[in-house]
This record gives sequence, C-alpha cells and structure tokens, in this order.
Amino acid sequence: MKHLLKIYSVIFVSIIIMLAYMYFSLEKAEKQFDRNINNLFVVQAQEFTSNLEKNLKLHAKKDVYLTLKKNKSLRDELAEKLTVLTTNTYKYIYILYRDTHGDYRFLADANKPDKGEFGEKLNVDKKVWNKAFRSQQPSLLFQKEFDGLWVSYIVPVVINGKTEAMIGVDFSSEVSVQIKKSTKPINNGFTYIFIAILIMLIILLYQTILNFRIKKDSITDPLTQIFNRNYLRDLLNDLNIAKYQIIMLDIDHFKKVNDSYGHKIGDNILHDISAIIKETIRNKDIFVRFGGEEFLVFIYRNNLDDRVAKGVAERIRKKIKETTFSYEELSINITVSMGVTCTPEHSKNISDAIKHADEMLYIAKKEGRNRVICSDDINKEIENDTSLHFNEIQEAIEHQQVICHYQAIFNTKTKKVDKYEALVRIKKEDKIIYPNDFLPKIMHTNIYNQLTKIVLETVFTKIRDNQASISVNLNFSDILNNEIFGIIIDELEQNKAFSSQLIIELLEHELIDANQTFSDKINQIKGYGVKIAIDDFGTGFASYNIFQTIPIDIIKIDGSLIKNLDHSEISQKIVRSIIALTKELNIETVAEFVYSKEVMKITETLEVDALQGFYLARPQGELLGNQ
Amino acid sequence: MKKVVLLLLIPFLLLASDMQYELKIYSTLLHNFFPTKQIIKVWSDDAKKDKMLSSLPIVKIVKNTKDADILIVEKDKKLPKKKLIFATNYLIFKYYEKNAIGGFYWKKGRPNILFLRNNLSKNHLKLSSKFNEFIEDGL
Repeated sequence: MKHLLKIYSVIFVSIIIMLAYMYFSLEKAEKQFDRNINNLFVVQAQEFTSNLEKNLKLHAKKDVYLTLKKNKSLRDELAEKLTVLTTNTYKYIYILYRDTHGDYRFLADANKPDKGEFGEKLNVDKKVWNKAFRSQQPSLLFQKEFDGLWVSYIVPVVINGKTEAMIGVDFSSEVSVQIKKSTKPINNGFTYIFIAILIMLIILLYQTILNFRIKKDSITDPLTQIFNRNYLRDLLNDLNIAKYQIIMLDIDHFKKVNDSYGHKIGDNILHDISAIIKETIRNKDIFVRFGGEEFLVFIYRNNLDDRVAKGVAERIRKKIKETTFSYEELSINITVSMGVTCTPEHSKNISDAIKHADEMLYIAKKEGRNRVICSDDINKEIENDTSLHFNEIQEAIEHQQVICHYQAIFNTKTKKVDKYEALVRIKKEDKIIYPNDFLPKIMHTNIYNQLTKIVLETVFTKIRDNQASISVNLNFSDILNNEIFGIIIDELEQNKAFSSQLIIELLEHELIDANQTFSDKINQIKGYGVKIAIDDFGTGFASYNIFQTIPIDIIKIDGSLIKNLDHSEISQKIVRSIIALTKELNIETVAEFVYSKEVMKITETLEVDALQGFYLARPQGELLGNQ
Repeated sequence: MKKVVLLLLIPFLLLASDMQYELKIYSTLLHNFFPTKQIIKVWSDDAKKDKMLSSLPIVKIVKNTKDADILIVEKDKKLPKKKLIFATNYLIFKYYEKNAIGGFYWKKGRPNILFLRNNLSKNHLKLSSKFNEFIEDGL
C-alpha cells in the first residue's frame, strides 16, 4: 500500500513537472518569436528615425526647442512627415524634448486625434527615456502595463554632443498580437490546470489533516488524552527496542476505588494520575494507557548504559503517593505499583519486553504493592542462581546429560535397603543441576514430557540391571496429561517384566482432584503391578478422601514433619496418627528426611515401616546395594 | 466554496483592462478630493464616463452641474467656473487652465495625470503626497 502511494506520488509530481516544463517552454518560445518579429519592425523604425533625425538636424543647427518654438511652419512640416509615417503598425511617432524639470514634452506630433501640442507633457517611462537621453544611444522599451501590446523605440537626437530631442516610435505588430491571441487559450488552459492542481493539493491537504485527526482520535484515549492500545499496536512494529526502557504501572486497589466511590471518581483518578505521569516524563518518552488502570511508559535512552527508567518510576510513585486526590468532599490517597524492564535489549521483541515488565509488576504487587521492581534487581538475584535457561535444558536432553541419582530407602526392622527413590539431575560440565533449577521452567512443555520419558527409561534400565525396586516422582497432573500417561503406559508395556518393581510417587504439592478419570488411569497403571505412593504426605493438599479414590500402597510422610520429631511433640502426634491410619488401611509408611540418629530412633519407636534420609544414605549415581 | 470561486476568477482579474485601471485612478482621485464625503456627486458631459463612474459605490451621477461636487469635462466649454473642474483631455484642460484642478487623459496609449497647483490652492484642496510628482505650475 505504501509502495502504491509512492508510485502515485511520483506520477503526480512528474505530471506537474511536465506541465510546468511545457508551460515555461511555450512562454520562452513565445518571447523568442516576439523578439524576432520586433527586431524586424525595429529595422524599419530605425530608417524612420534616421530620416527624421537628418531632417531635424538640417533645420535646427543647435537648439531644437527654440528653433521649433519660433518656427510654426517647421513644426507643421514635421507633423506632416510624422503623419505620413504613422500606420496601424507604427501607431505613434513623435518628437519630444526634456524640460528643466526632467519632464518630457512634445516638440512635434503626427496630425492624429490625440495629437500632442507643442510643449504638452507626455507621461513616459522616465527610467528608460532618461537612460537613452544620457547615453545618447537608442533604446527599446517593451510596454506591458496597458492594453495593446506595443514597443517603444527611442532615439536621441544629438547635436554638438548635446541631446536636443528624442524621437519616439511606438509600434505594435499584429503578428505578435495574433500569436498572443492564439496562445492565450493554451496559456489559460495551463492556468486552469495549475489552479485545478492547486485545488487538488488543497483538498489533499484538507484530507490529510482530516485523516490525521481521525488517526489521532483512534490512537488517543479520550479520558486521559494519552495514547491508547491502538497506538501501541502500531508502535510494536516500529519501535527500536534498544532505545527504550519500559515501565508498566498499575493503580493499587483501583477496583476498590471504583466500588467505593463510583466510576466517575475512578475516571477522575485515572485522569489525574495520567497528568502526574505526563508531568514527570519527558517529551521523547511514550506514554500509553494499556487498559483499565494499567499504563505503559517507554522511557527513551541515548545508549544502553542509560538506566533512567527506575529513577523515573520512583519519582512517579512518590509523586502519586504524596498527592491527595480531592473530588467534591472526598480525599483519596492512591498508590501505584510498577514493573520495569531495564534491559529490553535482552528480550526477543518488544512484546516480550512488555511481558517482562508485566512480570516485574506482578512481583511488585506480590511484595506488597506501592513499589517499583526493576528487572535489574531480579537479575542480580538470578546472577547467583544456577538454574538453567530453557535452551540449556533442551540442550541437556539432546546431549544425554539427564541422569538419575538414587537414594536408598531402608526397612526399619531389617535395616536393609528396601527400595530406592530415583531423583532426576542434569549433569553439565561436572556440575550437578538439581530439579528446582530446571523443572519449573519446563513444566507443561514438551521438554517436560521428553524428560519424563528419559527418567522412566533410565529407571527401568536400573531396575533390570539391579533387580531393585525404584520409585519415580510424578505429578498428579502428569497422570491426567494424556501424552505423559501414554509415555508411562508405553514404558510399562516395554518393561512389563520389571514393572512390578516400579513405584510411582505422586507429589502432594498439587491440588488433588482425584476424579473418576484419574482413578481409572491409576488403576490401569496398577494393572502392571506398579505400586503407588503419595509423596510429602501430611502437609500438602491431600485429604482423607484420597484413600477412598486411589489405591495407595505407600505413604511417604513429609520431611517437615519428620525433621521436627526430635523436638516437636505435635509433629510426633501427627506422625503417630498417620501411622495409625495407614496401619488400619494396610498402607506402608516411609519417613523422609531422617537426618539424625535421634530422628531415626523416634521413627523406629513410632513404627514407621521404612526410612529415608541423609543420615542413612545420600542420593548417588549408583545403587547402594544391601547394607 | 467562496475560495474556490475566487481562485477561478484570478485569471480574469489578472486580465483587467485599461478601463479597470482608469476606474481605479478615478476612485483614488475622488477619495483624495473629498476624503470626508460618503457620496460624491459627479457631473460629466461624457456618457461613457457616466457609465464607468456610476460603478463606483461612492459616486452618484447627477444631471445638473449645480448639484455636482465635481465636473468631469470632455468637451463642454460653458461650465460654471466656480465648480471643481476636472478635465479628460488636454485641449479642454488647456481651455479651463485657470479653473480646472487637474486632468486625466490617455495620450499615446499612456495615462497622463496632471494637477495645477494654483487651482488646487484656490479650491483648498490638499492631495496625498503620492500625487506630488503630478502637480505642475502650468500646462
């Protein structure tokens, strides 16, 4: 569309240039033709004036004025000669003198209706006539001021080195007039074309102004008179992400303001807060109402080291906090929360940078509102963080850097290893990365599914090689996820012979909705002889209802209860009650987080079936074997 | 819409004739002769002048010289000499040289304007300084 507009513009400008060129060419040709014709007539006029000059000099030896003043018959004779020479082309032929005031007056004129009397003043173009008078050289004057196109040929009569008289011949060529007449329609045509173009340009300008206004209205929020989301949509395509830091601002508890004081007051607050922000930012910054009570400010920066946005955001926050918004008899204090993307250049695109500012805003709200959170602050925390980026996790999977460590679980009575818990790790350049540093990032992604498959394959290999019972951790949502469930069933099918030695530990940190579908899927898994354990039992979301809906084999009592057993009577009582319940239900219990001898002794006293913890064995790459 | 009409009229305005030129001169002159008058009563012995001058909003053409503020003369040589006389050709101007305040006429296709100092003074007329170059002591 833009290209088409450019093409039209080029065509339009070309037409105008072409027309202008034609117009000026025509005018030039006309002038040249006119000059040539005039030259022909000037030759004739030269002959007239030459004869007249000779005649004048013959009768007046020195003072022409005095000679003619005294000699009427000479004046009449000259008039007769001038009359004879006068034709339709050579319209006026006359002889003038210059008086003491510098005015030109008649010495002789042809006997025609407008005959100039001796001494009568004639209004002439003094500039040209004086020039001819002083230079004593003939001059040509093109008269254009009045009707009838004509030329004046002026010849000074010089006697004894003094200009005694001036002969004037005014001629008008019909040819020249005819040419003028014949080209007049063309000239008028050009004039009308130029006027039409001018009108078109005026209409175009008017249309452009109108479009500009409509466009401005469409990108302006009527309440705050700042840019709206439509503008942002256009901006996303054109904005140089490196040139701006992004602030996302949200008015704290704005819904409460609307609910308590009404929408009119809410609108006033939006308007006044916008005004405060406008006052605080610079002209080169871009201010957009993102929607509702959310605003975006793009803070311009000269270079990447320029980190002004946080300072601006803090100033805005303080100004708004210190302002009391008064409407009618109401006084309202408002605070705002802001998220700042300080380094948008690290984002893939501007949408990502805005999303990042939104994430920072979310943190600001979560941390108590009325604050500014900058991505720099978060990034500083992340600098010490060993967690992997999404791409690194993908890379680890591709390079088979996903491994499992196994922590032994001991039978309380026999003190022998009963089973193991498989714990997934990523091994990167001799560095072990723990699940907390990569699982949250890939949750609900295809990579997570791939990782689940790798873990199951690894665990089954270990079971097959060591004939040991090993548990793997899965989320409740994994079972409900058809793709992951498919992976589990595939693995069980492929390892049917060893599937009875697999234990699936379902993590209790998720909100459990053990519906019929879930139960069916668990029963299908159990059909392969797999045991089902509930991990971290006692502190999470699981309720007693879970025992009715899921065929549980093992309960792993949460570490937070176990680690407090040596000093918390409440923890002991809870664990005791869990054990009492599980015994009734014939469910095996495992105490996690056995980190000391004291804790181990208590768990034995409480008759927990199996024990797991650093005191007994740390997770390691290989199975511990019976010890 | 008015602007559009004006734009279309520009070429015609540019081609204004000598008639318009003459009318403009008369309008300027009459304003100078009678700066305080809303309506100037003009008598002329030339029907063409009557027609032309009647197009000026400040001019009212009168039939009787007695009613006129100024007489614009082409040929009539029996005019009351106490009235302001303005000539439209050299010969009549010469005839009324003692009374006529000035004259405007075409000579050799050129407009000629002349005012006579004494007659202007006699009639207590003071012209704008832009006419100074046209004021003469005699013809």
